[in-house]
Amino acid sequence: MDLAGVSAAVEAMLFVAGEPVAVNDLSAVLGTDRAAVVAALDGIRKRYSDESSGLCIRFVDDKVQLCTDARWSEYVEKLLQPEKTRTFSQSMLETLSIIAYKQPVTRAEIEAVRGVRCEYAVNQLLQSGLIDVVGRKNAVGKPALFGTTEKFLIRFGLCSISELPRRDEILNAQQQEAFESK
Amino acid sequence: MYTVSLERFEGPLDLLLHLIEKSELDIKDIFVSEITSQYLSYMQGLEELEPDAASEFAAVAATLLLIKSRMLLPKPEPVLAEEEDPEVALLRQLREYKQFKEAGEELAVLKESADRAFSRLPEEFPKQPPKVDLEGVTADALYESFITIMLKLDKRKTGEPVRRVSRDAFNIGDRISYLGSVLAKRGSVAFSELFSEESTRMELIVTFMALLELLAGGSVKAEQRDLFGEITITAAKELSREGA
Repeated sequence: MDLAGVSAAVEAMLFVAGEPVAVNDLSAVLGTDRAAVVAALDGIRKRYSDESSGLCIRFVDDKVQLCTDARWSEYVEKLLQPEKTRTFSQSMLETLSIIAYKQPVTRAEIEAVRGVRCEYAVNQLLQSGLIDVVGRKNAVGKPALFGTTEKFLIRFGLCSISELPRRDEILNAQQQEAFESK
Repeated sequence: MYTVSLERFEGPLDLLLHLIEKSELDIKDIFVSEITSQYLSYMQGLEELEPDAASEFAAVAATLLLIKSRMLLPKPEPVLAEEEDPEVALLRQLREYKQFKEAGEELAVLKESADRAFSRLPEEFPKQPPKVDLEGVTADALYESFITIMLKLDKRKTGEPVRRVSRDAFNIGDRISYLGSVLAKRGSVAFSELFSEESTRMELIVTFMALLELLAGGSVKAEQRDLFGEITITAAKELSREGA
């Protein structure tokens, strides 16, 4: 299969799938190597932006998803009136940012940063599927460790956790503080 | 002095940051400023909060007062090295909290733009149940495969101990015959006479049930003079052998 064929097939599969699809699954179905799929995806991405298409592709971890270009959201919303995702309260945003940057973290660690109890915010985030229990800390009581989910990346338009704004800066500052307080 | 509702703040650190920003101060300068007294003036609103939230604000108020009092007094001997200076700890907490609060605000901006890209829900494909090809299947072949499966099951079971179920030592039919033969010989008998010292509980129960059967059939009469007293059994009429 040539590159044009791979591109067309990938586009068709992404359209029907709707959800993010693993790049490896695409290459397995097509019987091509991963590099061919990656090249095809890159071609699709360029074509969408060159031809001012209403679509775009978004990468989430090692998955790829077909979605609409944000530039045309106004018309999509007018026509279909999609359900608005609710805005987050400040306490949910603060809690989520601590989990996103410091993951995996326990609730006690989140509360130490915020200086207030976070049970409610953590439960709200768990319910919304943006965070999940990713393990247990090897400490007294084996407290749950929280981390962000794929849904978090999608809802915040990130390809991966490393794309969090000022991630290195914040993590470095954290380490610095920890070092100084020793 | 005018105070804003404490409920507006996400907690004591949020309130402190608000006061610092309002005074255009650097975090590190809060202890040489009016921040402590400003913070304390907000504590008038403490009663409107839930106890949990109120105690969080009060704890920081206590820390601020502790720091202030330490600054007024001559420096005591350095405390244990392991204990973090409350000033250092509070400054560290404030800086850390500020970072994540700002990061949260940046996340909200990201979300707003991500909210404008839509994706489709996955297409629903009702999956056909797999077809079963029965061509060329004969009854004999089915029997063969059934036997094969049963043999496999048998093999798997070998090694499992076979459970033995012992025969009942006493049954009601035998006991009825026995009672009948005793009564035929003697006309009447005391219930306790029917048992020896070695008799088992099961023998007693089964014999009693046999007696009940005979009573129901009207072939014997039983009499008990006192509560828990001796039961005397008498043949009602000539007993037939078919009682068994």
